[in-house]
Amino acid sequence: MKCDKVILGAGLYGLYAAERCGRRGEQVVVLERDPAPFMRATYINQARVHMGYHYPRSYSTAIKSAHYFERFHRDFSFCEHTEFQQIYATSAHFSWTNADEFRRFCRAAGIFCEEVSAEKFFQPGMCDGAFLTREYTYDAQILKQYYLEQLSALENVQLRFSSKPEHIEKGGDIWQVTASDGTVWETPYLLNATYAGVNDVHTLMGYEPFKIKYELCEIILCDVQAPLQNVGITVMDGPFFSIMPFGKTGLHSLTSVTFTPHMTSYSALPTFACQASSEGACRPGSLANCNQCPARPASAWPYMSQLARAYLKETYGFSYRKSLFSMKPILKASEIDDSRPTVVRVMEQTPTFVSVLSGKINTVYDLDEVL
Amino acid sequence: MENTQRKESNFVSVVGYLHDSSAFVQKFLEKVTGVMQRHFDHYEVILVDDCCRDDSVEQVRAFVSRASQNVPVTIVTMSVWQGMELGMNAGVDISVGDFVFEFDSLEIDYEPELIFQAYQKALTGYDIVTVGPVKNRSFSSSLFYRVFNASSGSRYPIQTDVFRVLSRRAVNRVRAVSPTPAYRKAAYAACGLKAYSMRDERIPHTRDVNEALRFSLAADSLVLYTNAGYRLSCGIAGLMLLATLLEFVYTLVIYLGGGKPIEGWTTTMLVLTLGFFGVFLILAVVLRYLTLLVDLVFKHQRYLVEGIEKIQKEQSDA
Repeated sequence: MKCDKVILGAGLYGLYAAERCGRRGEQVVVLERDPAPFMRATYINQARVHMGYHYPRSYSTAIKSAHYFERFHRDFSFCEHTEFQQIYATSAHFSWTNADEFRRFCRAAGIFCEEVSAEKFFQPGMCDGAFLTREYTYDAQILKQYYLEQLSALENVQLRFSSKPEHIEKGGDIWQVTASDGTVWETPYLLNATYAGVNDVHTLMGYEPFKIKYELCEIILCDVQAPLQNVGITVMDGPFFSIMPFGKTGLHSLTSVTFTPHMTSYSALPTFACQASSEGACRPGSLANCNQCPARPASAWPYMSQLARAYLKETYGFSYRKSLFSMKPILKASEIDDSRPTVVRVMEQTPTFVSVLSGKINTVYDLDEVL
Repeated sequence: MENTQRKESNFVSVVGYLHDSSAFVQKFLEKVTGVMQRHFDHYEVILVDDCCRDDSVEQVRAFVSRASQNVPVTIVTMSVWQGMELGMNAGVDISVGDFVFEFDSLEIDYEPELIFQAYQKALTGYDIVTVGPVKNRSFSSSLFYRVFNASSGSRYPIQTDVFRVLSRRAVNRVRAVSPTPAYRKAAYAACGLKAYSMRDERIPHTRDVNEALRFSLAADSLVLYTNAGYRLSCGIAGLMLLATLLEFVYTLVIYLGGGKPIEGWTTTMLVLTLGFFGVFLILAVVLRYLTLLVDLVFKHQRYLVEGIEKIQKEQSDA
């Protein structure tokens, strides 16, 4: 079957692209290997709409995030939770930044930050500065409903779930994409928005993989006591933690730099020992959904909660609800400055093949230039 | 019976100092993780790599990779060699346990169960439990501890330890007094919380220690944690002051008594003695200022850290 664009992956990037092109009247097909959209990284992350506070070592990432923050807020405020105090604090020990630097950084990047008393939230001596900031959290499930409604109104956009590309071949100036349901799609434009699967697709098509390391990450959802209900806390910049509202779910997400990543693979394709126990669902080159996997690791809750409790005052109590697991690809170039550049790379002009990789939800607009 | 008991639900941290310790590190990890896994639900091991020149760090990695159970080991890599005190401070700072075990030396030449016994002792109401041999390591150690304890003013004397257990409260307290204590042992003893000293004759008291390093630490700690240095120098200044004063009086007596020494002797001596009197007086005041400065400055000592890495099991390539 012929179509104008084939999009691989029904995460936010894939559906954003599908809607944008669908509105122009193009025939668009989205192939998603999971049975529903937003089952991996779009849902399973801190759900932070980044303003840039996270990147005191990379001004470019910070300024870009701040810019996109406003735009995302305009377009998607219906799925955002904005009514909470987002506190950023600098750890007194082991931080790559400190209160002064953070203040200077916010001023330079032009983002809001107002100093509050660190004593109010943290054990004495643990943090040398705390700041009230402006940052939001988005609710992936609401965003998903929005896209499903928008796209179902567009007859020229098809969402194919439980369907992944088995073969992709070049035939003159078109791609022939054979999906796992047997359908063959012919398209002059292929968009690879599979996030952690980006190199799986590259390998399938014979392109050089992106230089990525993979981390199997755990996000813990917590019930929190009243004092923490409308507060988000992020301690930075180093081996620390964050506990902040998780969209509009009423739960908080708990993550830590050292304990959220359970395992790391430095291979071009995600290669993990647990794949052997995945009952054949997962292998290097075909990454299954970690959150549904029988071989998902035991929760790091004891460690993450201990870390958070060492910092937080007892008043800010929280307890375990459940864990979510997903695979996170990290561009190797971004280790030192901790930047999170969005990579939008045109791998081939005719027929067009574009791969996108971004660690942030609000940089989705970077796609505009290639759609 | 041990096996049927519930494990401790407290989260504990083991902090060890790694400096060319390849001879001990594997055995240390084996014994310590053995005790931890037997008695605790959750624990972490933090090893401070203070610029090891041997393969200690590789041995740690090898141990973690080989271990049948997941061993939560974090390595703190110091940027340059900074010595045990600063290194261990860094390790304790990053630990999150409700109780922290400090191992200044990784050599465990005693029954590993002592580690758990010390923890149990802490639970009975001691924020600090130190464990060591009955006798001090050497004569020089004994001498040092004697001078130290006589002039420190603390309720708890310090002595040779092989490891110690600290409650989170003790760690917080010591940090509140000084963010980076220069000599932890003394800082813990002086922090004002209850301490207990566990002595066991099964712990050997002969062990290699780097005497040169320990001498400078000993001198520093006497200056920082006791008033021994101040008392000594102030005493000398006082004696000199007294001597000059006597000389002054003597000169005055000769001068007024009409004695006839060499021409000009009395005036010269009057000027000299008055001058020196002033000098020693100022010296005594300056010493006091210096002591104060030392107090203020060492509270701001910081360490340099190169990296913190949580070791994961290797993922083998397919």
